[in-house]
Amino acid sequence: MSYLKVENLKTYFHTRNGVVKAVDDISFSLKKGEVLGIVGESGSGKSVTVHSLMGLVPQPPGKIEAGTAIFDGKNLLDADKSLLRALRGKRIAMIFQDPMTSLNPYLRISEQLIEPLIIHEPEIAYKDAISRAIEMLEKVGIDDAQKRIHSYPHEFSGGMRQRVMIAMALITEPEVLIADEPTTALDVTVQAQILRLLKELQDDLDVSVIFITHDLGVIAELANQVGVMYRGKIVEQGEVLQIFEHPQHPYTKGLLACRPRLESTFKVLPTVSDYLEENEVAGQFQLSEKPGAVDRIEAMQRVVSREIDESDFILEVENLKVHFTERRGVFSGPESWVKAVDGISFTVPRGSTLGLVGESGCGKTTTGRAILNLVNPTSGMVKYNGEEITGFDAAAMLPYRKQMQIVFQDPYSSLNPRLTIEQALSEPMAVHQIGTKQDRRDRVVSLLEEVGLESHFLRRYPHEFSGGQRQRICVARALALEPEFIVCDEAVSAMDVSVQAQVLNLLKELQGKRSLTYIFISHDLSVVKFMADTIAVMREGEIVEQGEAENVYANPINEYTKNLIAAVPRDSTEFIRSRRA
Amino acid sequence: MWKLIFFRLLKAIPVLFVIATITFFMLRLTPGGPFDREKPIKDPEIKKQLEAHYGLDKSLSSQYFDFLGKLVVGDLGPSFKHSNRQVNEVIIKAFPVSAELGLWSIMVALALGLTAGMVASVKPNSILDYTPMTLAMIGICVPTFVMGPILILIFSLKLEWFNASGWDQWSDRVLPALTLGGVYAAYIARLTRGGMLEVMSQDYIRTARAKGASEVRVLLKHALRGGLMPVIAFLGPAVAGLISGSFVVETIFQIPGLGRHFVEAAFNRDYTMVMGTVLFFAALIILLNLLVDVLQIWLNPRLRTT
Repeated sequence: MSYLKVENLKTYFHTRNGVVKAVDDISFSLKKGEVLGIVGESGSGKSVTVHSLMGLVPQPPGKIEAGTAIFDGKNLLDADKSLLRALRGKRIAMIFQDPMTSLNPYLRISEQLIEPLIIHEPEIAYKDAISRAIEMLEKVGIDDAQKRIHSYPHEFSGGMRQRVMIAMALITEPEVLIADEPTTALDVTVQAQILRLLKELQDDLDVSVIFITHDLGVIAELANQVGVMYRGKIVEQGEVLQIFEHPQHPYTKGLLACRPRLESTFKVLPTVSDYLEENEVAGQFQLSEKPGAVDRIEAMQRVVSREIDESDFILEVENLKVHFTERRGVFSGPESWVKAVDGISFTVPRGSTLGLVGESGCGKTTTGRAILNLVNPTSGMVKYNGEEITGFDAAAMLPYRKQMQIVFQDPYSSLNPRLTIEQALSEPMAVHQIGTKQDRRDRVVSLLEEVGLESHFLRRYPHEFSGGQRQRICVARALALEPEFIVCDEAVSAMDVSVQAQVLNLLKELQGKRSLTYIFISHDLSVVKFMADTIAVMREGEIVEQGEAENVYANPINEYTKNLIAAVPRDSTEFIRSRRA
Repeated sequence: MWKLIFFRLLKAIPVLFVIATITFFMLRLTPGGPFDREKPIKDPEIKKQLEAHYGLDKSLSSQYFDFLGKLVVGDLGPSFKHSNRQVNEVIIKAFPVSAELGLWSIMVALALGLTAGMVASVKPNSILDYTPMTLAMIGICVPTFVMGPILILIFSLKLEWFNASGWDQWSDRVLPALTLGGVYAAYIARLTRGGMLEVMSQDYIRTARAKGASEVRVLLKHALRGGLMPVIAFLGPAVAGLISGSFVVETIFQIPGLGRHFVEAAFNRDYTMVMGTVLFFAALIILLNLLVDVLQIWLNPRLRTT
């Protein structure tokens, strides 16, 4: 008995540059009480698919060209607007990717929570609506719901806001919940909590779920059925265990392989392109399997291991503290301190990678910035190549900026949208007065090639690139001055797993070629473990555990480290089998 | 909040002091004085007596300190031009007229501007968008000294609905308010459209739609508050500009407002009058901007905690 049956759905976007076939003839069905996972990378059409069902595709430019979506005997795709509105939020509810922007910042949580009730059950009394909202908040694990319901969204953390979103979606007891990348914007630890919560609620309320994500690991935690989407088509679908045990399509195989795993010892990550061959024939993409993927990936692992002299430190940090003042009055002194970084010490041997891992707000980003003197340390000492550089001002830091660089998290906002790629990449060289204009252009071309981009991209602007390409550009910018030390601050956190694998491989390859030293900052222990030689686990401004990467993972001492390890999505077939039993 | 208001008012004092000082010395640097007329006063004795009467014979620095001393107690001194009248009196008499004109104008501006902007934002790049936006563009481009006479031509000379000038009865308010408010209506329309379009593309609007909210509900409950933020930011300077009187409109319609006194005083080198009106306007602008900031904080919960 299927609840929602979608057949031959086609949603195209008619843009100035031609027709984009966002969703190209897909069919799937959702059974009662089941979780259907739809996996695919950005742009694969998975969000457009569910937006089509809900009537949320902006038209124009979007247009649903063909297909049916039968829910309770009615075709959602040609239903009139008032019928769709009556279903939306009542029988089919949705939660979205970014809890920071998906709640209205101007309205109290209470008002937003009861809104679906007010819309769909107009006769309900305000008091009853509020008490149902409080009940729902308690169900999604928000303490002190009675009081906190009257807060505004900005008073809640990201994870809490996503809980509010879930409560808001489930308050009308819908039959279907559509979750569009609900954990992608969250730290792995928070992601684990939200996934656990969704699983509990799904059992409890017997709601059917369509769960959209780019991460197969997340699917393994939750789904019964899986559909893998690529270029607007479902390339493979089936039972979750079958997909993980015997993936058929090369894209699925690539997606499964490219996720860094705690237990794996890969030196180079497999990528989708190791498995999948794409050929464009008369405007149609033909996908086929590249032979010999397994051997090739094995061969990739035979990279020469780097020689690291454990006593030659490029960076020494001693008892570093960064405290921020909060709410300083005009006459009164500082009223309170936020101890972002509170007395941490570590050393980084030349040519190695130190992984800094922890949740949002643990001080890992501030640490990176304090080392580069982008924020002023309160106390402590930073030595670079044996020279103390603590608290240097801009002028004193200038010669060091050539050697110390940083790559930021968000490649969308860390490139100036009004500079071409050539301008962005040659600017650091211009600042340091390196070479003539022609020299700099030649350098930019070779930098682009080094990060795997083509030289004809020179005159383009950032918006013409995908997220992965932009991050490559940011890496190239960091390399422009030929530094020996780079801080990668959550450099892959905003990326799909398939793109993440490529950028991680690039960073490792560059490290080998240029004998770079990295501080690699991330909230995801599996990524840090892949990159780093040594790991430091940070919590509330302090390092709670540090040591050799393999060792920290294999024998964690601190409780918190164990939590981080447990938060990494489990996607082993044994786990799925035990969950499904 | 009270703390913020207190400190902002405290900060206004040095701002006003700097404005007063700069204006004072710039006025004295401009050639000519209050008693240099087209028909000069022939008898030097009389001129000397006049200057002595108003304290203009003292050294510049002692004039400056006299002025500051009086300013502290709120005395702006006697007008040079209107004999036997204090600047305070002139302002108290003329300001309510200007303020009333300004208030009518801002009401016209808000009513026309908000409606046009909202209509335009509902269906961008359609006829409903282009028509009000073209009108707004024309409104911005046509200066008041053209708009005023056109309105007089149509509504008082041809249709004879309103008086061409004066400030005596209710109907005398209509044409000046339309002339002055029209320009601001155009700006507000454009700001409203931009603000609303920006908000309508936010994720939380999609959330509201996913809840099954009707378009009207989405617009009024979820979009309006955020969409009007740019308009509110603009209101501070706009209201200050409007209620401090418009010289052009007050001249066209023969309205006895403050704007005319301001400009006339500058032409006549009526030192005290210029100082008085400048400081009064400055204080008004500071106050209105403060009011707008308070309003923005009150409307935006994210700003409220800090």
